[in-house]
Amino acid sequence: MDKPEDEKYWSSSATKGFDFDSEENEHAGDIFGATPLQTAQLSKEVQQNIPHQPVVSRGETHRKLSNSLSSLSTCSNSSYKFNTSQPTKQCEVTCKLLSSTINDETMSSPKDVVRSIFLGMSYDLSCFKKLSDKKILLDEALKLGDGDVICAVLLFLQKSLHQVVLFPLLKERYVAAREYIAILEKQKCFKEAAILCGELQQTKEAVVHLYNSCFREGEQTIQSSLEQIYKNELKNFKQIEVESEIIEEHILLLERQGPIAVTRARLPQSEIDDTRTSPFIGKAVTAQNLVGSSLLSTLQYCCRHNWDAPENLLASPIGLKKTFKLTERQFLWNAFIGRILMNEDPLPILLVKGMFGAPKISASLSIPRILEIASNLNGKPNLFDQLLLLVEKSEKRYQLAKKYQRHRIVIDVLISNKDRISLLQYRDSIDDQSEIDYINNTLRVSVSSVKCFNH
Amino acid sequence: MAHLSAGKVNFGTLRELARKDLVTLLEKFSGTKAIFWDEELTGPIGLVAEYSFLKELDVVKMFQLKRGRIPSVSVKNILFITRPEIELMDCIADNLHCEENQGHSANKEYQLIFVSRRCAVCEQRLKDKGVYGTLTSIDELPIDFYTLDSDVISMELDSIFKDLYIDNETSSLHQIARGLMTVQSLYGIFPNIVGKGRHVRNIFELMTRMRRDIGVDCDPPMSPLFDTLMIIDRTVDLVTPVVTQLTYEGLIDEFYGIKHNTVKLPGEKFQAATSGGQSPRSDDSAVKSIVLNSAEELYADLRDKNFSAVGTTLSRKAKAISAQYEERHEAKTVSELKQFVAKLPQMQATKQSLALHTSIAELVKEITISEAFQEALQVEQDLLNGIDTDKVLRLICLQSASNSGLKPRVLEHYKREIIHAYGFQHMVTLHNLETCGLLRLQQSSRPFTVIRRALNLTVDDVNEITPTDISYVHSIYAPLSVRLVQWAAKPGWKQISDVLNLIPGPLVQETQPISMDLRS
Repeated sequence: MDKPEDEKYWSSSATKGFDFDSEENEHAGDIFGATPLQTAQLSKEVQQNIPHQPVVSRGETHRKLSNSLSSLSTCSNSSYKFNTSQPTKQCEVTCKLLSSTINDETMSSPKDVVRSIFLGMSYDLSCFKKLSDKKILLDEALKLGDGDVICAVLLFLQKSLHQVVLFPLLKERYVAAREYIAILEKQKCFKEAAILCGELQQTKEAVVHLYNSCFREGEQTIQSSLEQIYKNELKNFKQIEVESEIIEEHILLLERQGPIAVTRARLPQSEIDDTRTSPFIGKAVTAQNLVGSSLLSTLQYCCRHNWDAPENLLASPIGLKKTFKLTERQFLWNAFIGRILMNEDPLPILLVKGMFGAPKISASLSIPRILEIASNLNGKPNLFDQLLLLVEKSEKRYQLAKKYQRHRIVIDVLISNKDRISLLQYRDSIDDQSEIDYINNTLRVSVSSVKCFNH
Repeated sequence: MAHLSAGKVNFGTLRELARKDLVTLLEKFSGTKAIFWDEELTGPIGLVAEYSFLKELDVVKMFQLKRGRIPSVSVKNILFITRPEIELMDCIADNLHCEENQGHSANKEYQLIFVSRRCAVCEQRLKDKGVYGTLTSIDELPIDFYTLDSDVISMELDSIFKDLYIDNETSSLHQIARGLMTVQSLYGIFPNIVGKGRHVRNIFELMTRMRRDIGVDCDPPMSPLFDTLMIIDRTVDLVTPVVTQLTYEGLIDEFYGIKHNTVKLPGEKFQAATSGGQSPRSDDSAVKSIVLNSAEELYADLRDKNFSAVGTTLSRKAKAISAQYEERHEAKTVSELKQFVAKLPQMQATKQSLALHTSIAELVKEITISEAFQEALQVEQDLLNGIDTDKVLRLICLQSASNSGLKPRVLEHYKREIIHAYGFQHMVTLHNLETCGLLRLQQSSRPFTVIRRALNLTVDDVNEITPTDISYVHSIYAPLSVRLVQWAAKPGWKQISDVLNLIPGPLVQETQPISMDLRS
């Protein structure tokens, strides 16, 4: 046995599986009771053990079954013996079960066939050739209520009926229709699923299936597939304005991403994308993975590399904003992140004119959040200083300045509050000699005007 | 595994039944065997059997099921043990085609085993792929419930919510009904069955049909151990799964994910805690696998405590262990020393367990004290209290559930934000969330507000250290499903019938006939 290979597999498994070193040796307890499936299994084994004979009377069948079951109910030779307290009960149960199902006269009736499927016995559906028989078969399966039985019948109908006949039949049987849609999804037949959803007046779901079908062939064909369904298929459905708009936007985005990525890929190595990443920007977007990335990731990318591009170019951030009707907030956040990542000054993007012409932060943004992102992306120190000065409330400015260790601003707030004690405490807590000197100079100059506070 | 029998009900019996089924199945195939496992099954089956157990049954090698050529192995039987999933059938088909191309198929027998039930769609797939005839047999391993602990059994069906409420595929209901029949066969017929939700009636009817098929005279000859079976559909309570769990075990699961009683944690924290006892397995130097179940006394004590109470408990335990170690100074005679030495292994195991859980608690605390976590938690608790605000997907679902839906303008805004920020493909995600009810439009009535007040779902003054109410698990919110169980136990659902009508899904209250001599 190749133990290292096995261990390596089990070691790399995401879940704890089997322990090769376990010395545990379990012994069985008493097990009793019979589940339907155990009896069905037994019956199947019994069936396999019965030699084939063309005509067997019912009495003889039961006697042979009893003999076979008796032989099966003895314990195995394994060292792990599991004693069932009622092996005889199992034999009786199986006989009872079989006697209710084995009926030479109605063996091929839809009800019996459906019960056979339910019990896990072998079955043959090919005898149901007429449409009326198939309908009865499906209705019996629906009456039983077991999803797997319904699926077995539906698979048979899938093979034996054309879609033109099958779909109207399913339209009258909602449960069967839903199960069939699930089958089509598993088989990745999304277009057929969309048609059936359309028949059921579930147009939104139909569009989702069509949308899924576009991803089936691979990334190369997504755009053309989306264009095809947008032009030809969506018109067949009503009340899908939202979904239709999303698909249209997706196409527009792909139309931009492709050429942008190709252009960037042609650049010399020195200009190739920086793969810096952070929790705020997620997975790094590069020319290699630009196609297929989200709209805002693309905007961020364009803000990094094409900030000054004219509006008519595909890579223009302003062009993206207008085409996709982005909100001011969406645009500003991503522009800000994009400019910081390029070590450019993002402040002009964030500022608007306030009352009397004084600059202030756009209402769409919050300064604490901006500072948090700037800190995470290693923004330049003077950015922090400029942003903190825009915080109107001094207490808030003080807290933020302390958090981001902008000593001068902390000191200025304490000076404006005339808080000598806190100034002294702060001086003792920092290492920056220039700031310490600044505090000392301030204290020397304005000794008489500093008020003491008890904190 | 002795702890599995330590609860009020011996769930170790379920495990034994599963092992019996595994033995019965494997013994059908004579000769040496190599098993190709669906990787998702290794965890659950690992709760049932170990490799040493399988070795006794002539299993000589085990591999993960994946596409391509299967490793060369000299055995008589190749067993594919898998869930009934189409993608896995494609893997098996690929494997079998490779075997045929290499001429190995003549010398071996290929057996396919579905856990826990055969699937017609999957068998059709194998036929379509042209490998159905290559298989010697197709069987099923009918393990429906796995025993996770002395008081918890689970079906471990990760995709069942999606199957039922997004794909509308109901085949799993049969498995649930069959699993409950198995429980009945071991512990007695449930005299009363109550439930709420869309599929509860279906499950009850399937159980009734199965019982009728077997015959009432084949009922297990024992008085029922359970008084009532309560079946609560997930859609009855969509708030609880999106709210952050604040118990010790809950937070470990939130941050690191507990699967089949095992968690993988960053390895560097546990370098000192890896000798003997509850030693974690190391997959590589960066990750440690740790088994968490109530076989470990300290974990059994900690797991359900609110995280605020964990520090106190660990500290108390540490003092107790220190005191025990100090007893060695008290021992004067040889027999006293001997007694102390006899207690040493237990003390060392407890000490190691304490070190382990102290490290785990430190890992958890690093995250809970972070601003991001605190902020999100505050938003959650505001939402639970009915204060409106906005954040991302899980919080959006919580907002929808706790406000009985979202206003059209708000929902549209969220959809656009998510699609723009995370990608257009999330149109499918949003559609699925709407299909299963996690996102929906607000109607004129807001039933959750009524339900919250009537069932006291949010509690202001929660005692997290010595809790008296289940709301401690979220520090403010008592899970709706738990409140339903509490009301069912006393004074009964009749007292809250008007509230039950506000909860989605039909109500089921049935009794099952049991012979008089079995009634306790």
